[in-house]
Amino acid sequence: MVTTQYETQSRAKTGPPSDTWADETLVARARDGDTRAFEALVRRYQGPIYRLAVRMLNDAAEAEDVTQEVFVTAWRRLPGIQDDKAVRAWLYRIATNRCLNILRARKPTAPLQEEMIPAANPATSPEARAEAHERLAALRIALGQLTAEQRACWLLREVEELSYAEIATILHTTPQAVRGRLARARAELGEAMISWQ
Amino acid sequence: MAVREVDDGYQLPCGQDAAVLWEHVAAGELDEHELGCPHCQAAAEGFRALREASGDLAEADDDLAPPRDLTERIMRAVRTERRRDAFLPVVETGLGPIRVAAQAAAVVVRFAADQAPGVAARSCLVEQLAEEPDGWCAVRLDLTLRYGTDGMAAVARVRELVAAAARELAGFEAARIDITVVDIWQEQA
Repeated sequence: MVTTQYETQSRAKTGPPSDTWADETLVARARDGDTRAFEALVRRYQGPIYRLAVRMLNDAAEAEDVTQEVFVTAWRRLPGIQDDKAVRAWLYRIATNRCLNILRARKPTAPLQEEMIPAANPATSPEARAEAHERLAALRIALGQLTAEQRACWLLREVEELSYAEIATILHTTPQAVRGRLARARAELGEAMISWQ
Repeated sequence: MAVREVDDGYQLPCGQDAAVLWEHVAAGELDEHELGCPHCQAAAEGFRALREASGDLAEADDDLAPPRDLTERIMRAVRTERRRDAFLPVVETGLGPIRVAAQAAAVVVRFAADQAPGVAARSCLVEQLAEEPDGWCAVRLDLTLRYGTDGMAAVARVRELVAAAARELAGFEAARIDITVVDIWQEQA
Protein backbone atom coordinates (compact mmCIF):
# COMPACT_ATOMS: atom_id res chain seq x y z
CA MET A 1 0.00 0.00 0.00
CA VAL A 2 1.21 3.45 -0.83
CA THR A 3 1.22 5.70 2.20
CA THR A 4 2.09 8.93 0.46
CA GLN A 5 0.46 12.03 1.83
CA TYR A 6 -0.29 14.18 -1.16
CA GLU A 7 -0.75 17.78 -0.14
CA THR A 8 -2.69 19.58 -2.81
CA GLN A 9 -2.97 22.63 -0.58
CA SER A 10 0.76 23.27 -0.71
CA ARG A 11 0.86 23.43 -4.50
CA ALA A 12 0.88 27.14 -4.95
CA LYS A 13 3.56 27.68 -2.32
CA THR A 14 5.88 24.83 -3.18
CA GLY A 15 5.36 24.47 -6.91
CA PRO A 16 8.33 23.22 -8.88
CA PRO A 17 11.17 25.71 -9.30
CA SER A 18 10.61 25.81 -13.04
CA ASP A 19 12.37 29.17 -13.38
CA THR A 20 15.65 27.47 -12.56
CA TRP A 21 15.22 24.47 -14.85
CA ALA A 22 17.30 23.89 -17.94
CA ASP A 23 15.81 24.96 -21.27
CA GLU A 24 15.68 21.36 -22.49
CA THR A 25 13.57 20.29 -19.50
CA LEU A 26 11.11 23.11 -20.13
CA VAL A 27 11.00 22.36 -23.86
CA ALA A 28 10.39 18.64 -23.35
CA ARG A 29 7.56 19.37 -20.95
CA ALA A 30 6.05 22.09 -23.09
CA ARG A 31 6.08 19.74 -26.06
CA ASP A 32 3.98 17.35 -24.00
CA GLY A 33 1.46 20.14 -23.54
CA ASP A 34 2.64 21.48 -20.17
CA THR A 35 1.64 25.14 -20.38
CA ARG A 36 3.37 25.99 -17.09
CA ALA A 37 6.69 24.88 -18.52
CA PHE A 38 6.00 26.92 -21.63
CA GLU A 39 5.13 29.93 -19.50
CA ALA A 40 8.53 29.60 -17.80
CA LEU A 41 10.14 29.76 -21.25
CA VAL A 42 8.06 32.82 -22.10
CA ARG A 43 9.16 34.54 -18.90
CA ARG A 44 12.78 33.63 -19.55
CA TYR A 45 12.95 34.87 -23.13
CA GLN A 46 10.21 37.45 -23.71
CA GLY A 47 12.50 40.30 -22.55
CA PRO A 48 15.40 39.54 -24.92
CA ILE A 49 13.03 38.84 -27.82
CA TYR A 50 11.09 42.05 -27.20
CA ARG A 51 14.29 44.13 -26.99
CA LEU A 52 15.62 42.60 -30.21
CA ALA A 53 12.32 43.42 -31.93
CA VAL A 54 12.34 47.02 -30.61
CA ARG A 55 15.89 47.52 -31.87
CA MET A 56 15.11 45.94 -35.21
CA LEU A 57 11.79 47.71 -35.81
CA ASN A 58 12.16 50.85 -33.73
CA ASP A 59 8.50 50.57 -32.80
CA ALA A 60 7.31 49.38 -29.38
CA ALA A 61 3.79 48.38 -30.43
CA GLU A 62 5.05 46.31 -33.36
CA ALA A 63 7.71 44.76 -31.14
CA GLU A 64 4.97 43.64 -28.73
CA ASP A 65 3.03 42.02 -31.56
CA VAL A 66 6.17 40.30 -32.82
CA THR A 67 6.98 38.96 -29.35
CA GLN A 68 3.49 37.51 -28.99
CA GLU A 69 3.62 35.98 -32.47
CA VAL A 70 7.05 34.47 -31.81
CA PHE A 71 5.85 32.55 -28.77
CA VAL A 72 2.56 31.43 -30.28
CA THR A 73 4.48 30.20 -33.34
CA ALA A 74 6.99 28.49 -31.05
CA TRP A 75 4.18 26.73 -29.21
CA ARG A 76 2.73 25.45 -32.49
CA ARG A 77 6.08 24.27 -33.78
CA LEU A 78 7.35 22.68 -30.57
CA PRO A 79 6.57 19.13 -31.72
CA GLY A 80 9.03 19.61 -34.58
CA ILE A 81 11.95 21.12 -32.67
CA GLN A 82 15.15 19.15 -33.34
CA ASP A 83 17.44 20.23 -30.55
CA ASP A 84 15.83 21.04 -27.21
CA LYS A 85 18.96 22.83 -25.99
CA ALA A 86 18.95 25.28 -28.90
CA VAL A 87 15.64 26.90 -27.97
CA ARG A 88 17.19 30.34 -27.43
CA ALA A 89 18.68 30.52 -30.93
CA TRP A 90 15.45 29.03 -32.32
CA LEU A 91 13.37 31.82 -30.74
CA TYR A 92 15.80 34.44 -32.07
CA ARG A 93 15.42 32.85 -35.48
CA ILE A 94 11.62 33.11 -35.47
CA ALA A 95 11.83 36.69 -34.18
CA THR A 96 14.50 37.84 -36.63
CA ASN A 97 12.66 36.42 -39.61
CA ARG A 98 9.42 38.02 -38.50
CA CYS A 99 11.15 41.41 -38.11
CA LEU A 100 12.84 41.10 -41.51
CA ASN A 101 9.48 40.34 -43.13
CA ILE A 102 7.91 43.39 -41.50
CA LEU A 103 10.80 45.60 -42.58
CA ARG A 104 10.64 44.34 -46.17
CA ALA A 105 6.94 45.17 -46.29
CA ARG A 106 7.52 48.61 -44.81
CA LYS A 107 7.80 51.77 -46.84
CA PRO A 108 10.90 53.97 -46.28
CA THR A 109 12.55 53.99 -42.87
CA ALA A 110 10.36 54.94 -39.93
CA PRO A 111 11.57 57.99 -38.01
CA LEU A 112 13.38 57.38 -34.75
CA GLN A 113 11.05 57.66 -31.78
CA GLU A 114 12.69 59.82 -29.18
CA GLU A 115 10.44 58.58 -26.35
CA MET A 116 11.70 55.05 -26.79
CA ILE A 117 15.20 56.00 -25.73
CA PRO A 118 15.59 55.20 -22.05
CA ALA A 119 17.63 57.52 -19.88
CA ALA A 120 21.32 56.82 -19.48
CA ASN A 121 22.81 55.49 -16.27
CA PRO A 122 22.10 58.08 -13.52
CA ALA A 123 25.25 57.17 -11.57
CA THR A 124 27.53 59.15 -13.89
CA SER A 125 28.11 62.92 -14.04
CA PRO A 126 25.66 65.15 -15.95
CA GLU A 127 28.25 65.87 -18.67
CA ALA A 128 29.13 62.21 -19.15
CA ARG A 129 25.44 61.35 -19.11
CA ALA A 130 24.62 63.93 -21.75
CA GLU A 131 27.48 62.69 -23.91
CA ALA A 132 26.44 59.05 -23.49
CA HIS A 133 22.88 60.00 -24.33
CA GLU A 134 23.93 61.74 -27.53
CA ARG A 135 26.31 58.96 -28.49
CA LEU A 136 23.50 56.45 -27.98
CA ALA A 137 21.09 58.53 -30.05
CA ALA A 138 23.69 58.71 -32.83
CA LEU A 139 24.11 54.94 -32.74
CA ARG A 140 20.36 54.36 -32.94
CA ILE A 141 20.08 56.64 -35.94
CA ALA A 142 23.04 54.94 -37.61
CA LEU A 143 21.53 51.52 -36.91
CA GLY A 144 18.36 52.66 -38.63
CA GLN A 145 20.39 53.41 -41.74
CA LEU A 146 21.87 49.92 -42.08
CA THR A 147 20.07 47.37 -44.23
CA ALA A 148 17.74 45.16 -42.21
CA GLU A 149 20.05 42.16 -42.66
CA GLN A 150 23.13 44.10 -41.55
CA ARG A 151 21.25 45.41 -38.54
CA ALA A 152 20.13 41.90 -37.61
CA CYS A 153 23.71 40.64 -37.92
CA TRP A 154 25.11 43.43 -35.82
CA LEU A 155 22.46 43.18 -33.06
CA LEU A 156 22.67 39.39 -32.82
CA ARG A 157 26.46 39.50 -32.57
CA GLU A 158 27.23 42.67 -30.59
CA VAL A 159 24.21 42.89 -28.31
CA GLU A 160 22.86 39.34 -28.05
CA GLU A 161 26.35 37.82 -28.32
CA LEU A 162 25.34 34.89 -30.51
CA SER A 163 28.05 32.96 -32.36
CA TYR A 164 28.69 33.37 -36.09
CA ALA A 165 27.35 29.85 -36.63
CA GLU A 166 24.13 30.61 -34.73
CA ILE A 167 23.61 33.86 -36.63
CA ALA A 168 24.25 32.08 -39.93
CA THR A 169 21.53 29.55 -39.08
CA ILE A 170 19.12 32.30 -38.10
CA LEU A 171 19.69 34.23 -41.32
CA HIS A 172 19.89 31.15 -43.58
CA THR A 173 23.40 31.99 -44.68
CA THR A 174 27.03 31.01 -44.03
CA PRO A 175 29.28 32.12 -41.14
CA GLN A 176 31.53 33.67 -43.81
CA ALA A 177 28.64 35.83 -45.08
CA VAL A 178 27.82 36.83 -41.49
CA ARG A 179 31.43 37.91 -41.01
CA GLY A 180 31.19 40.03 -44.16
CA ARG A 181 27.92 41.71 -43.20
CA LEU A 182 29.24 42.39 -39.74
CA ALA A 183 32.42 43.99 -41.10
CA ARG A 184 30.31 46.18 -43.37
CA ALA A 185 27.96 47.11 -40.50
CA ARG A 186 30.88 47.99 -38.21
CA ALA A 187 32.50 50.09 -40.91
CA GLU A 188 29.29 52.02 -41.54
CA LEU A 189 28.49 52.45 -37.87
CA GLY A 190 32.09 53.48 -37.16
CA GLU A 191 31.83 56.10 -39.87
CA ALA A 192 28.59 57.43 -38.42
CA MET A 193 30.23 57.64 -34.99
CA ILE A 194 33.12 59.70 -36.44
CA SER A 195 30.60 62.17 -37.89
CA TRP A 196 28.89 62.37 -34.52
CA GLN A 197 32.14 63.24 -32.77
CA MET B 1 35.17 56.13 -42.69
CA ALA B 2 35.83 55.57 -46.35
CA VAL B 3 36.04 51.87 -46.94
CA ARG B 4 35.93 49.97 -50.19
CA GLU B 5 34.87 46.42 -50.65
CA VAL B 6 37.59 44.00 -51.67
CA ASP B 7 37.46 40.24 -52.20
CA ASP B 8 37.84 39.30 -48.58
CA GLY B 9 36.52 42.29 -46.67
CA TYR B 10 36.73 46.08 -46.46
CA GLN B 11 39.78 48.24 -46.92
CA LEU B 12 40.58 51.72 -45.68
CA PRO B 13 42.10 54.11 -48.27
CA CYS B 14 45.58 53.24 -46.91
CA GLY B 15 45.00 49.56 -47.71
CA GLN B 16 44.47 48.46 -44.10
CA ASP B 17 41.78 45.77 -43.62
CA ALA B 18 38.93 47.30 -41.55
CA ALA B 19 38.28 43.99 -39.77
CA VAL B 20 41.94 43.75 -38.69
CA LEU B 21 41.83 47.33 -37.39
CA TRP B 22 38.62 46.47 -35.52
CA GLU B 23 40.36 43.54 -33.80
CA HIS B 24 43.32 45.74 -32.87
CA VAL B 25 41.04 48.43 -31.43
CA ALA B 26 39.15 45.75 -29.45
CA ALA B 27 42.46 44.44 -28.08
CA GLY B 28 43.74 47.99 -27.44
CA GLU B 29 46.91 47.25 -29.45
CA LEU B 30 47.35 49.29 -32.61
CA ASP B 31 50.39 48.42 -34.75
CA GLU B 32 53.02 50.86 -35.97
CA HIS B 33 51.25 51.68 -39.24
CA GLU B 34 47.90 52.20 -37.53
CA LEU B 35 49.43 54.55 -34.95
CA GLY B 36 50.95 56.76 -37.64
CA CYS B 37 48.23 56.63 -40.30
CA PRO B 38 45.53 59.34 -40.33
CA HIS B 39 42.99 57.03 -42.03
CA CYS B 40 43.52 54.34 -39.40
CA GLN B 41 43.48 56.88 -36.58
CA ALA B 42 40.14 58.34 -37.73
CA ALA B 43 38.65 54.89 -38.25
CA ALA B 44 39.95 53.72 -34.86
CA GLU B 45 38.26 56.73 -33.21
CA GLY B 46 34.98 55.73 -34.83
CA PHE B 47 35.39 52.14 -33.72
CA ARG B 48 36.10 53.21 -30.14
CA ALA B 49 33.01 55.41 -30.05
CA LEU B 50 31.01 52.54 -31.54
CA ARG B 51 32.24 50.10 -28.90
CA GLU B 52 31.29 52.49 -26.13
CA ALA B 53 27.90 53.23 -27.66
CA SER B 54 27.24 49.48 -28.06
CA GLY B 55 27.81 49.03 -24.35
CA ASP B 56 25.47 51.97 -23.66
CA LEU B 57 22.82 50.40 -25.88
CA ALA B 58 22.82 47.08 -24.05
CA GLU B 59 22.83 48.85 -20.68
CA ALA B 60 20.15 51.45 -21.46
CA ASP B 61 17.87 48.86 -22.98
CA ASP B 62 17.98 46.75 -19.84
CA ASP B 63 15.21 49.10 -18.74
CA LEU B 64 13.31 48.40 -21.93
CA ALA B 65 10.92 45.77 -20.68
CA PRO B 66 7.88 44.34 -22.39
CA PRO B 67 4.50 45.42 -20.93
CA ARG B 68 3.59 43.57 -17.75
CA ASP B 69 0.56 41.86 -19.22
CA LEU B 70 2.42 40.46 -22.22
CA THR B 71 3.07 37.06 -20.63
CA GLU B 72 -0.61 36.72 -19.82
CA ARG B 73 -1.63 37.70 -23.34
CA ILE B 74 0.78 35.18 -24.83
CA MET B 75 -0.42 32.42 -22.52
CA ARG B 76 -4.05 33.18 -23.27
CA ALA B 77 -3.34 32.76 -26.99
CA VAL B 78 -1.37 29.58 -26.28
CA ARG B 79 -4.12 28.04 -24.15
CA THR B 80 -6.69 28.49 -26.88
CA GLU B 81 -4.42 26.40 -29.12
CA ARG B 82 -3.88 23.73 -26.56
CA ARG B 83 -3.58 20.32 -28.10
CA ARG B 84 -6.15 18.06 -26.49
CA ASP B 85 -6.18 14.93 -28.56
CA ALA B 86 -6.20 11.90 -26.32
CA PHE B 87 -8.58 11.13 -23.46
CA LEU B 88 -8.37 8.40 -20.85
CA PRO B 89 -11.55 6.79 -19.57
CA VAL B 90 -11.16 6.81 -15.81
CA VAL B 91 -14.48 6.20 -14.10
CA GLU B 92 -17.51 4.33 -15.38
CA THR B 93 -20.73 5.82 -14.00
CA GLY B 94 -24.26 4.74 -14.72
CA LEU B 95 -24.51 7.73 -17.03
CA GLY B 96 -21.39 6.97 -19.07
CA PRO B 97 -17.61 7.17 -18.58
CA ILE B 98 -15.85 10.15 -17.11
CA ARG B 99 -12.73 10.87 -19.09
CA VAL B 100 -9.62 12.87 -18.39
CA ALA B 101 -7.39 14.42 -21.03
CA ALA B 102 -4.17 12.44 -21.28
CA GLN B 103 -2.34 15.75 -21.15
CA ALA B 104 -3.99 16.68 -17.87
CA ALA B 105 -3.03 13.26 -16.48
CA ALA B 106 0.56 13.92 -17.57
CA VAL B 107 0.52 17.27 -15.77
CA VAL B 108 -0.49 15.52 -12.55
CA VAL B 109 2.22 12.88 -13.01
CA ARG B 110 4.96 15.40 -13.70
CA PHE B 111 3.91 17.56 -10.79
CA ALA B 112 3.96 14.55 -8.47
CA ALA B 113 7.42 13.52 -9.69
CA ASP B 114 8.75 17.06 -9.16
CA GLN B 115 7.97 16.76 -5.45
CA ALA B 116 10.69 14.14 -4.99
CA PRO B 117 13.92 15.81 -3.79
CA GLY B 118 16.44 16.33 -6.60
CA VAL B 119 14.00 15.41 -9.35
CA ALA B 120 12.63 17.40 -12.30
CA ALA B 121 10.31 15.53 -14.65
CA ARG B 122 10.69 15.97 -18.39
CA SER B 123 8.52 14.11 -20.94
CA CYS B 124 5.52 12.15 -19.79
CA LEU B 125 2.97 10.02 -21.57
CA VAL B 126 -0.08 8.41 -19.97
CA GLU B 127 -1.94 5.73 -21.90
CA GLN B 128 -4.79 3.35 -21.18
CA LEU B 129 -3.50 -0.23 -20.95
CA ALA B 130 -5.15 -2.16 -23.77
CA GLU B 131 -5.90 -5.31 -21.80
CA GLU B 132 -6.84 -3.79 -18.47
CA PRO B 133 -10.05 -2.22 -17.21
CA ASP B 134 -10.80 1.44 -17.87
CA GLY B 135 -8.60 3.73 -15.83
CA TRP B 136 -5.67 1.33 -15.62
CA CYS B 137 -2.89 3.17 -17.29
CA ALA B 138 0.74 2.93 -18.28
CA VAL B 139 2.88 5.93 -17.40
CA ARG B 140 6.09 6.63 -19.28
CA LEU B 141 8.14 9.28 -17.60
CA ASP B 142 11.54 10.86 -18.30
CA LEU B 143 13.33 12.31 -15.30
CA THR B 144 16.34 14.49 -14.74
CA LEU B 145 18.21 14.26 -11.44
CA ARG B 146 20.22 16.81 -9.54
CA TYR B 147 23.91 15.86 -9.40
CA GLY B 148 24.54 13.78 -6.29
CA THR B 149 20.95 12.53 -5.93
CA ASP B 150 20.60 8.85 -5.03
CA GLY B 151 19.04 7.59 -8.25
CA MET B 152 17.51 4.38 -6.89
CA ALA B 153 15.90 6.15 -3.93
CA ALA B 154 14.68 9.02 -6.09
CA VAL B 155 13.07 6.72 -8.65
CA ALA B 156 11.39 4.67 -5.90
CA ARG B 157 10.06 7.88 -4.34
CA VAL B 158 8.79 9.10 -7.73
CA ARG B 159 6.91 5.82 -8.21
CA GLU B 160 5.16 6.26 -4.85
CA LEU B 161 4.29 9.89 -5.51
CA VAL B 162 3.06 9.23 -9.03
CA ALA B 163 0.90 6.27 -8.02
CA ALA B 164 -0.67 8.24 -5.20
CA ALA B 165 -1.25 11.38 -7.24
CA ALA B 166 -2.72 9.44 -10.17
CA ARG B 167 -5.27 7.82 -7.89
CA GLU B 168 -6.06 10.76 -5.64
CA LEU B 169 -5.88 13.68 -8.07
CA ALA B 170 -6.66 12.32 -11.52
CA GLY B 171 -8.69 9.19 -10.82
CA PHE B 172 -6.58 6.66 -12.71
CA GLU B 173 -4.50 3.72 -11.60
CA ALA B 174 -0.85 3.91 -12.63
CA ALA B 175 -0.60 0.17 -13.16
CA ARG B 176 2.73 0.45 -14.89
CA ILE B 177 5.29 3.20 -14.39
CA ASP B 178 8.28 3.15 -16.73
CA ILE B 179 10.91 5.64 -15.68
CA THR B 180 13.96 6.71 -17.66
CA VAL B 181 16.58 9.01 -16.20
CA VAL B 182 17.65 11.13 -19.17
CA ASP B 183 19.88 13.82 -17.69
CA ILE B 184 21.71 15.04 -14.60
CA TRP B 185 21.76 18.71 -13.72
CA GLN B 186 23.87 20.78 -11.37
CA GLU B 187 22.32 23.44 -9.18
CA GLN B 188 23.43 26.89 -10.27
CA ALA B 189 24.79 29.16 -7.59
